[in-house]
Amino acid sequence: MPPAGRGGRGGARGAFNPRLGTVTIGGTELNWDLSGLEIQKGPAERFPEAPPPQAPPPTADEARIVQHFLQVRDRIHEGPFYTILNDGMKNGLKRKASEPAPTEASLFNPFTDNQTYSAKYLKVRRRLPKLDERPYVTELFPAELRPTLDGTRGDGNLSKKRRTLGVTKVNAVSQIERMIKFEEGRTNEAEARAEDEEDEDEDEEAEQDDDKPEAIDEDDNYSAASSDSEESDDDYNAEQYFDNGEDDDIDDADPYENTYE
Amino acid sequence: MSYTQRETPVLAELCTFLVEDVYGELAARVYSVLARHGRQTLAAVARASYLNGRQIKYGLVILLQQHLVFHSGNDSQPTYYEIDWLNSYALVRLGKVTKLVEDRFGRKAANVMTNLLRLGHTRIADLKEAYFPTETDSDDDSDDGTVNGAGMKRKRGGGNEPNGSAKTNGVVNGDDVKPVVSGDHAHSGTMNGGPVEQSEQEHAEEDDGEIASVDELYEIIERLIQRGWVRTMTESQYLSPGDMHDMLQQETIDQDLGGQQPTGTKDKAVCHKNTLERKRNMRDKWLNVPRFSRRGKPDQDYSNPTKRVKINGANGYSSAGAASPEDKLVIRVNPEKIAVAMRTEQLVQLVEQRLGHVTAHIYQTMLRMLEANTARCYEEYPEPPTAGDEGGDNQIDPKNLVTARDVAKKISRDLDICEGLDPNAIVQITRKGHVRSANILSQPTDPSTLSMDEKTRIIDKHIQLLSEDPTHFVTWHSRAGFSQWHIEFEEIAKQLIQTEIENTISARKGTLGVKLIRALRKKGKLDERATCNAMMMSANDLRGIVNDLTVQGLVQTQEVPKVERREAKHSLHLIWYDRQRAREKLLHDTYKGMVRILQRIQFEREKVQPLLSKAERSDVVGNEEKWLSKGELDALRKWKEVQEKLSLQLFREDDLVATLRDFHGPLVSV
Repeated sequence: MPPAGRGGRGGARGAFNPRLGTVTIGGTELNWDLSGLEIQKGPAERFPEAPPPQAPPPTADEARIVQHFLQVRDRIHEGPFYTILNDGMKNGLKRKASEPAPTEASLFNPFTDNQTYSAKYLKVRRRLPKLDERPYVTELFPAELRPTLDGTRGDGNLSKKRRTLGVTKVNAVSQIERMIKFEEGRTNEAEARAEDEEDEDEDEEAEQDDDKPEAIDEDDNYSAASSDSEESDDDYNAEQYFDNGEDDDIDDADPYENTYE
Repeated sequence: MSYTQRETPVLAELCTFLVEDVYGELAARVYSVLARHGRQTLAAVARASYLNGRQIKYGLVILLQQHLVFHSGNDSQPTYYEIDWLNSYALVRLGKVTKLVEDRFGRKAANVMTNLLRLGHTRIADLKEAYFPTETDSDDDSDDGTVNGAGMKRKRGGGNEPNGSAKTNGVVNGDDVKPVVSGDHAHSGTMNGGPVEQSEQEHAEEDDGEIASVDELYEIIERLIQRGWVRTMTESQYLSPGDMHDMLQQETIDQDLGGQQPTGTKDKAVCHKNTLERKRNMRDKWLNVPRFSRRGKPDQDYSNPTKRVKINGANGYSSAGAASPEDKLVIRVNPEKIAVAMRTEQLVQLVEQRLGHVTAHIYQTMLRMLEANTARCYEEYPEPPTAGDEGGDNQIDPKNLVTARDVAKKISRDLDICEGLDPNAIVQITRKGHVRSANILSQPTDPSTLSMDEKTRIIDKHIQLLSEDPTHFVTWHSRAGFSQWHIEFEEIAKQLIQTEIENTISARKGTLGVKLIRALRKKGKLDERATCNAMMMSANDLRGIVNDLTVQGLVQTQEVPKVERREAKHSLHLIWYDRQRAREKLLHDTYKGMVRILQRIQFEREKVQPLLSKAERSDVVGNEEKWLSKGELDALRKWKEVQEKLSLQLFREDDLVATLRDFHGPLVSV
C-alpha cells in the first residue's frame, strides 16, 4: 500500500523527505506510514449537495418588527387608499407607440377568472381610492387638488357623508395570522370534541349549520380522527388520481454498493 | 438615447415597489411617473402617463397625504410635484417605528403612532373624533381588531364563542400570536430579557387595553411630541429641498444683502452661511413643542395619582381651559427621530455582542436618556467652517452628558449589575470578602441590597468597560456626578460604516481582501510594487483580489502618465481606497438587494393569489373551517412563513442602510 501511494496523484510533486519521515502527496505533507488513511475510490459525486447559506432565525425583537409591519400594512390595505388596478401595466408611464393597450381579452385568465356562483362573494378591490371617507387638512394641499378632496363627483354633487378617520383601537392582527388562527382554533376544538363526547358548544354549531342533519357532526368527528383516510379532500385532484409510484418499494440502498472498494 | 429608455435607477425602483406594496397600484403608478421624470406639473404628469386626469389627481392626493411627494405650494402657479424619496423609503420602517415606540412608551403610544403612520398627517381634533366619536352610532368606522372588517359580521352573531365579537377577537389573537408583545414589556425591552424600568414605560403599560379617555390620548400625543417622535405639520414641510433652498436663499438675499445678488466670494460665503442658518431655524421650528392646555375633565383616572403629579410638575399645564386650542394642530410622525432610535438599538446590540448583556443594558439606559435630547443623528446643514475659529467651540452641550449616578437611579433592582465585571473590582467596591482562586467571590453579594453609592460605582465600572472598548462607546468628560460621560456618535458611526464595508469584503473576498483595504487605508495611494511591499505578497497573488475589488467598486484606480504620450508601460497605475465611495457602492448594492426581495415577495404572492382571494371571500372569512381544506390551510401557512422570512431579510437590509446612510453625513476626508 505505501509504495503505491507515492505514485498516482502525487506525481512529479510527490516528494519523499526521509529526514522528517514524511511524504508530500498532492501538496499535503503526510506521514510515511499511510496505513490509517482512507482514500475515496468511488466516483466523485456529480452534483454534491451545496446548501445555500441560510439567514439566522429572527430574534424576538425582529419577529416583533415583522409582525408590526404586517399589521400596519394590512390595515392600510383595508383602508380607503389601497387600490388594485389590474390593467396589465407595470408602471404609470405612457405605453410605447408599438405596444398596444392590453385588452379585456388579453387580461382574462381562463383558469381563475371565469365567473362562478361563488364569485359574488369575492372581495371587491377598489380601482379608485375612496377619498370622501376621511377629513383632510385642505390648506396643506395645492389648490388644484382641493376640489378632488371635497369628493365632488362628476355631477358636481358634494357627498354629504360624515367623515371620520378610521383608527385602530387595539393593536390589530395581520390578516394571514387571523386566517391561520381560525384554523388552529378549529382543529384544537375538533380534537377536543373527538376526545370527550359531549358537545358543549352545540348552540354555536347549531346556529351555523341548521340545515345539516346530525349525521354530519358524527362524520366530522370521524374524519378528524383519521384525517389521512381515502376521503380526506383531494378527490377532485386529477393529478393525484393514480398514485404516482411514490410508495413503490424501490430499495433506497447505497448507489455505490457495488462499486469497487 | 432618450431618458425614458434607460433603466430605472435602483432607488426609484425600490421606492416605487414600496409604495405599491403599501398603498396599492394607483399610487405607485403615479409615483413611478414622478420618480422617472423628476419635478413635474400636473399637466406634465398627465402627458407622461397613460392614466387619466382623475386617476392622477386621486393618486396625488394619496401620495401627498402620506408625505411621499413634495409640492411647491400655492404661491407660484403652476404647482410642481416631486417625490420625497427619503420618506418613501421610510415605508420599509413602518414596523420598526411601531416597535421602537412600543419599547419606549408602551402599547397605547404605539397604537397612536400606528394610526398616525396610516393616516399621514391629521388634526388632533379629527384624531380625537375618531377615537371617541361624539355621537354614538353603532357602525363607526373604527373596527376594533380584525383586519378587514370581517369582525363586523360576526359581531352581530353569537357572542359567546371564543372568537366571537370583534373586540375580543383582536385582543385574544393579539396575545396569542405574539407572546413577546403581549408578554411583560419589562422583559422584551432588551434583547436579553433584562428588566427595564424606564420611567415612561411604567405607567403606559399597566393594562394592554385601549386608550380610555380623551385626556389619556392627549397625554400620549403630548409626550410623543416632547420626545420628538411626532411633530407639528406646516405647509413649509411640503417644500422639496430644492424649493426650500431657493426660498430661503432669496430671503437671505433680500434681507441680509439688500436685494443684491451676491457677487464676491465674501458675499457668497455670507449668503451661504445665512441660508444654512435659516434652514436650521426653520427645521427647528417644526420641532417646537406646542403648549397643551390641561383639559379639565371630571373623569380623570384616579387609579394612578402619582402619574398625574409627575406630569403636572414636569410640564406645567396651564390652568384648566374649556377650549382646547391644540385641537387645530396638525401632527405627523417625525421621520428623523426614527434613525436616532435605530442607532440606539444597533449600538446596544453591538455592545451586547462584545461586552455582555448587563453592560448593554446600562448602555441602553444611557442612550435612551440622551435620545430625548437628540433630534437627529447628524446635522444636515452644518455651519460652514470659517478660517478664524478652529476648534473654538469644543463645548459639549450639557444635555448630551450622562452621569453614572443618573444611570444608577434608573436601573432597576432586579438587574444583577455585578454580572460581567471582574470580581476583584466588585470586592474593591463592596469591601466584603475576597476573590478565591477560581474567580469566585468568597462572600456572595446581593445586588439588590447595594447602597446607591456602591451601585453608582459598579455602574461606573461598566461604563469604563464601554470606554475602554476599541470602539470607544463612551468618552470620559468630567468628574461631576461621580463620573460624567458623553458619546461621540460621529466617530462610532464612522467605525460602524467601516466595519460594514469590511464585513462585506471579507464575505466576498476573504481575509486577504480586508487586509488589502486596511493596507490601502493606512498607506494611501499605492502602485503595484508598493502594494506588494505593504501586503508582503507577490504581485501574482494580489492582482486577482485587486481586480475583483476594483470591478466591484470598492477599490479605486488611477492612471498617472509619466511621459507625454500616454503609454500604459510608462504610466503609474495607482490604487486606493475611498471610504465614501465604498460606502455609496455598498448602499447601492443594498438597495438593489432590497428590490430583489420585494420582487420575490411579489412573485411568491402571485403563486398563492387564487388561494388568497378565496380566503378573502366574504363567505369564507369567518367560516374558514367550512370552506378551506387542510391543504389550502397548509399553503396559507407556508405563504405566511415565506412572507415573514423575506420581510425579515428586508428589515435586516434596512438596518444596513441605516448604518451606511443615516448615522453619519457624507464623509469628506479619507
